[in-house]
Amino acid sequence: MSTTLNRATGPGTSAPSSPSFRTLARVVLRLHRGALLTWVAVVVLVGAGLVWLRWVGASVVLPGPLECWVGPGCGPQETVQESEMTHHIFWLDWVSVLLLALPVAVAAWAGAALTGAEQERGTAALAWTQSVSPRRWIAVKWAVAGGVLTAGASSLVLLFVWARSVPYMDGSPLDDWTDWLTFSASGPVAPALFLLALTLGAYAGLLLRRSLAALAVSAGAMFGVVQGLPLLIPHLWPTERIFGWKVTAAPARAWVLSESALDAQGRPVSMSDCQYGKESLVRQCAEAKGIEGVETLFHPASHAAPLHLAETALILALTAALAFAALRLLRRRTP
Amino acid sequence: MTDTDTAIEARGLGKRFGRRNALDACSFRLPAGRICALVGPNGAGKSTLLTLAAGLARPSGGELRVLGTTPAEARREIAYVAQDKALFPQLTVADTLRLGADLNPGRWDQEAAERIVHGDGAESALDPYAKVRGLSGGQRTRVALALALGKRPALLLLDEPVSDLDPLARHQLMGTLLAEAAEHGTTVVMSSHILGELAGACDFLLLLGGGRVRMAGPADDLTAVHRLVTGPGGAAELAPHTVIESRPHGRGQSALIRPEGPVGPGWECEEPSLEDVLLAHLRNPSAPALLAPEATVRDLAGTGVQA
Amino acid sequence: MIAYRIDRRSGVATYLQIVQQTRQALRLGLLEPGDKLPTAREVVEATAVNPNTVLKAYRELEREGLVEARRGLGTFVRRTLGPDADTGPLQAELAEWAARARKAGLGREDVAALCTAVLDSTYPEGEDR
Repeated sequence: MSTTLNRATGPGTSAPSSPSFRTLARVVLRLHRGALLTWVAVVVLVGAGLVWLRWVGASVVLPGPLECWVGPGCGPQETVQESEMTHHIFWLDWVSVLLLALPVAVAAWAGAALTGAEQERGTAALAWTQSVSPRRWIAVKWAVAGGVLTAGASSLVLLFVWARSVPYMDGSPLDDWTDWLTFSASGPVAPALFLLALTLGAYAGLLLRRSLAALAVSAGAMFGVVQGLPLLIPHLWPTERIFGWKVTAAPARAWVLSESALDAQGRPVSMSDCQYGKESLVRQCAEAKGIEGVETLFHPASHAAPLHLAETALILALTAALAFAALRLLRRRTP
Repeated sequence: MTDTDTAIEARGLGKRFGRRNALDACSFRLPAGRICALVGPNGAGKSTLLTLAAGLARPSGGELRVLGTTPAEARREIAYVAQDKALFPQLTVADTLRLGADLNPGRWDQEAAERIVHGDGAESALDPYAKVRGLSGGQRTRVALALALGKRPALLLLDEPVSDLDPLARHQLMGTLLAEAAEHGTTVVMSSHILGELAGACDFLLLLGGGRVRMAGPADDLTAVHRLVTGPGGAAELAPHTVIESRPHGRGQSALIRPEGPVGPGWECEEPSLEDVLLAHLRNPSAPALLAPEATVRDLAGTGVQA
Repeated sequence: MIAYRIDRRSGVATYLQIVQQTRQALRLGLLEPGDKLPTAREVVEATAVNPNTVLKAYRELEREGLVEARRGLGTFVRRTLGPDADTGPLQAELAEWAARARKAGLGREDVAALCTAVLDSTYPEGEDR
């Protein structure tokens, strides 16, 4: 016996469809309005700062040859534009630190606010029972946040590279591509790190179902990644090798990984007491120890791009693995 | 067999959390269009059952069909309100309703949702620009119910919807809820501790105890099957009948029974109220289970199967 | 518009209470033929009672010929419930009986209990005529 008093349109007769991606994206942006505004503010501020830095750096004109600026000075004019240059380098370095520290904050936010809070508070269930499947909800959140973060981070990276490419930097020993902060902030590694942070945080929030725990775990893990990646970078691409008697055999601007004296069997031998004096004396001393030559392993400047891309690929692979794990977790938990 | 007249059908449904069986081999059928009371002591599995039916968790065993299909596929037709009435705290009331409209394109009833949010008087009207985190418990319940009902669901699952409201708000919300449900033929499953109100509002009952189904069926049928008897005899005289609960009453006893045949002479018989039946079963969890024919699961041939 | 009051603890079935209160209103002249009864939805909203119950009560009233449902318009009162038997002689007989009962030593409550028992057996539950 039904209790209908007035069976008007039954459910489903007005051709309901799933909400479109655009609608869901709008919903997500409205839900995380605060975070969106914060991110936009950060990007705008840092971006404006980079534009200003470019202007400062472009106006630096070095009066003498570059070699005078590193090592013992050549004359009194060196100090003329030193303050401008110092400003430029100093703030640029801080921007690169920021670009690599922000992902930690993003991971914390993603864990706490993007997924953790919803799981803890039960509002995830609210979305899921308002006709969005769990996987679709997480996917849209990730895509929207990822898009916003990537766009912002990429703009900042482009501005950073532009702010660095000022005349005085060209060929300057200050332009050290092996400094991992500068290295990471000058290409797709930085935006990739933001994506990794987002995915890591989202997964932690889903797994732990508690905002505070997810915040701590994802921030800690991301910090570990950011600190640990530099150790991995040199091993991401095969090194070049030179074997001979020149102690500093690597070309200029190369990233030297190791210099070791090897004997006939290829075992490293210490040369510490042979370092001083003319080259012929050094050679005599070394031969007396049974040293066959000095092996230098290094990455020339031409390896910068491949290394960078390899690191990006590694980060994206990690991101994909975490995304897959998150989806599998959802599939296991909810129908 | 297409089954458009069954809202929920469970066969051997089970859900385990670690080593604890929240639900254990539950089998029952809830026909469509009913207002069903889901009753049971704490820990009986009421919230778990609602969660499973809403598609928020996977059963550990058995089968659950909602509106003729799986809970995941029926997502659009099911509305669920959790016990804590979870809402997004940073949204305003108007934004929350807009969320409902956005997430349910083509079937959102903005008028009905607003009617529930603003109550039936200027006094109880909510400021649409108030943030959800600043609302009182009763106001949040209203918003949560508005979200659920605005979706025009075929099945409404409510976990203790009015328990934390004052009596007046409770009465008003129940009235609104029932009126809306009746108008659209919505099946409502409501878990609650407040037996008195449930007894008046519900026409179907599902009693859980220890994760198992203890009673299921139309409320009228369930009371009709029981009798409250008082008489001078001892326990032996009631032996052929199923005794749910019996107490000494002066020199004789008073008992709630399911008679199997006529009750002997000297016993005064009356039909108990639904509340009497429920309380007796809650006090005596070891009483044998009872499933009315309408509440038994249908096998593939369409005939009833006693659980 | 008539307002129903449901007493859940009275032991009387809810739908019967609605029927009885409608009859009472008719008897007291609060409802006259042509008056519209509240819609089932309105009753449910006001009393938080199961909609089936209200429908059952209205059907019962319709069966007794007191109301009629007009499609799309609502439920309307059809006739009054005036007493159609002359109660004068009946009341006189009752007064005589009450005097006899009092002389026999029965108190007011004893008489009331006797009356209830007789009424219960003469008008079994559900029947008003």
